[in-house]
Amino acid sequence: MDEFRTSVLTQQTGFLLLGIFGVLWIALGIYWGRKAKDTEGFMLAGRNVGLALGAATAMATWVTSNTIMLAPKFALQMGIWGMLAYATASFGLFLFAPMASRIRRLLPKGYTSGDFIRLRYGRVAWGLFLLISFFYSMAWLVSMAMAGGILLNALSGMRYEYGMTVILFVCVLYTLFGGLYAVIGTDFIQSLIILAGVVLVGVVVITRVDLGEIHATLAAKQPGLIQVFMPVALLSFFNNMFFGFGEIFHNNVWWSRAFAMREGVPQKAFLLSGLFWFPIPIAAGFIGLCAAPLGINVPDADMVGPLVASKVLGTAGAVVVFIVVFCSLASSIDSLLAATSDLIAQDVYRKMLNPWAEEAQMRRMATRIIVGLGVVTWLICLPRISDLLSVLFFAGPLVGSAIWPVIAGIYWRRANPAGAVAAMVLGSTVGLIAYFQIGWYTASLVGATVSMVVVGLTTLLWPREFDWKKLNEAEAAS
Amino acid sequence: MNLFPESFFNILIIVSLVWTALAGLTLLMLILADFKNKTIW
Repeated sequence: MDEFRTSVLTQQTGFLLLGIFGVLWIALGIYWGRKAKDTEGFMLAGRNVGLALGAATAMATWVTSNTIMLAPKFALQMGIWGMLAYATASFGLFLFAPMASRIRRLLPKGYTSGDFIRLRYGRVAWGLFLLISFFYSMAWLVSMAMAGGILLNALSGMRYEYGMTVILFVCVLYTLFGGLYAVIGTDFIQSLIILAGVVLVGVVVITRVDLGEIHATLAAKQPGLIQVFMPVALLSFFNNMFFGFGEIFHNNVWWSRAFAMREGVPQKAFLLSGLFWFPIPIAAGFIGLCAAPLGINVPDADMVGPLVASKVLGTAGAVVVFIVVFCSLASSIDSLLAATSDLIAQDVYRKMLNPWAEEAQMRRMATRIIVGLGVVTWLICLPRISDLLSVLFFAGPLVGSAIWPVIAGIYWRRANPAGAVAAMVLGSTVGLIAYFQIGWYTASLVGATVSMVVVGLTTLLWPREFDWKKLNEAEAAS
Repeated sequence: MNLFPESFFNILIIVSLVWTALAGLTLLMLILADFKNKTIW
């Protein structure tokens, strides 16, 4: 019974909302899926996505359940710096904007981030990169599905297994029917719901609680939360920023969007998505600071957002939070399913196992992989091993170490393959040592710094000219 | 102990809410523009 103590909705309401939105996403997936007539359509939405959908999909994918639920917790525990630290995750989207544009130009026929690493650095770096990418993607997927089950349980009291299964099933189904068309289309609607929900709850909260009163209460009872100098928060500020860079620069979720957008759109779309995303951790997070002035007892810091929302908005507030959380989970899980299945279908199946695969075989394989990923994720999540949630933090130094090989590979003609491999190996190793010896809040920072030094030095000492045309011609020839 | 002033706190919260609302409106305007120009997909 203990796990139901913070429920703000009934189980029936939870199932009803899951049913309504689940059916809606699947119906839209089937509808948009009719546009996916070939592999390119299924995997990359025909490479013709416009600005509105492009910006919305990048924003919605980056709004995970963590953004909605952890931002208030961050505010409750680390105050103003906690919210600002979270907001720095948007910098990755800003910096990826010019890269996305260049990626689109350099690889007009590219499918995945793996394609780029293979063509730019060769097979050893490619293999290593794929390992990092799969580990990170699976960790993110598992953490999202587990978070889904846990959050729906906390919000409505429905069993963890039911919530996790329904979310995963719905996302697998509509991604299966519609590929990237369905993912991007639903992301747009989910973006609007998330933005509207965050604003609605925030506005109602500030009409009920005076901001001056919140500040005064914090100054009197928890001054640390509004302190100007907070060294740990500052470290987490930079660590969060570098983790975000690594996640976005390397992962196929973002590369597939760069390939999917029409010519001239990627840079504007990613810049806009960063601008749209930046205020969300603050707008969604500050309600965590309202718990004390509202006299709310918070038995579990993870639940501070829904508790405040339901206190000021009643059941309607809890329903809004439930829908926003469901949308943020779905928008990330569908993207991960699509992008990771692309990586397996393109890099493993087509490039390693069956280079002569026909169009129909590729399409069949892509759908099987989506189902397979869904089943594997479900099996890993089923026992609810809470330690698995922290696995994503292990990925921090690994993805941090991939930042510089990617940047140098895109912009520096003389970056060499050995340097890229060394940067990923040393960056990951030293970053993991920092994780265990110092703390999680330094791991990505250390991994990225080591990677930067290694790539810089190896490029300077052993420069190797690269012909950019190989990125395009090799694809054309294959 | 140096604390963020109340005015900064108020501005931070209000600007973030207005900014988020504007993000939603911008998305709606962009999709209308794409629809008009037939550049949604």
